[in-house]
Amino acid sequence: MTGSIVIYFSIMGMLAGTIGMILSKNIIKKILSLGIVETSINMMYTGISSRGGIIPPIVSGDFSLSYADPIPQAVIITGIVISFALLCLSLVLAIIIYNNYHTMDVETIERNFEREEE
Amino acid sequence: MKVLGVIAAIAIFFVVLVSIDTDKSIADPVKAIVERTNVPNSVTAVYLETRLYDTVFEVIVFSITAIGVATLLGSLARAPHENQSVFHSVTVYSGGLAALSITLFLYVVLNGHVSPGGGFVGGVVLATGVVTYGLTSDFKRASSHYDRLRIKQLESASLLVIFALSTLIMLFPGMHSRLLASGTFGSTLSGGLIPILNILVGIKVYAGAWKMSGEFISRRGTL
Repeated sequence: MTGSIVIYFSIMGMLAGTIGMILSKNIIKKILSLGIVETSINMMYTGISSRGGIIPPIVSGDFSLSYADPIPQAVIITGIVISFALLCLSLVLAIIIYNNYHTMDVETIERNFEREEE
Repeated sequence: MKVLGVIAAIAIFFVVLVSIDTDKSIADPVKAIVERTNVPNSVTAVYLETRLYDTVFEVIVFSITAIGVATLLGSLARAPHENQSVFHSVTVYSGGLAALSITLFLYVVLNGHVSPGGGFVGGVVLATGVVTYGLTSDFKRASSHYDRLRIKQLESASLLVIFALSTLIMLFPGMHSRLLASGTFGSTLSGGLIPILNILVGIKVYAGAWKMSGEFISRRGTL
């Protein structure tokens, strides 16, 4: 029950983050929306792993308890580090873009870029 | 165009929302994993034994990102940072916090296979402690350990040893499962090569996280 609520809310978070990435014009806001999507995906995997039970899967000899599924958790523990690395790299690119164009607005950057091309 | 994107996003997530089966009962994998690896923490057992291939490539991605951040930020000018202190009690607290995070790193990494924790968590804990120390009291002193303790060489060496041990485990799975079965269930010294891999992954994640955060701080300047 708790797991399905978590899954539905995380799908809503993913949708909100994706729409934020599409609609916002500021690069930092786009990166923040990407962070929201990543966090929602982590939350969704946590919800998926709690479908069979919510006891942490650290066994002390008793196998009859309803443990949480360890495989989605093990997948997402690498995913958390990857999302940290991805955020770092995109922030570096944002800094370089700001140093070149002195703005974070995507449309202004696009106009400046087209002017440079001509 | 943007409206089209929003409509597409809503459509895709609506399909996901309708098609997902949240109450699907699954076979219990905990018993199989724990009996196979003889390690109590089944999450660590999954990502360092049964899905080791995945973890190796994850470590490669993390290293490449650390190199990319250092290279891309290397072309930018460094901000001047002098010795600054927020106020003196914070200096005392953050030193204690760094010491506490080093202790927690050792505990979490060494007991990663018997209690909650592991290499990834331990590395992030240590990096958080040291970055907090550097931001609040003395960034020069916090960053001097990177050269003094030869973290760069340690990082490269631990990456190489992770590759070597993982290749060994993937090539000779029978040997590693005999090693796993020989340990006592639940003791710190059990777990075959898993604790060693945990320590190395912890060092790797710490070095990468500190390198990335330190590059950001030295470009922007402290407070």
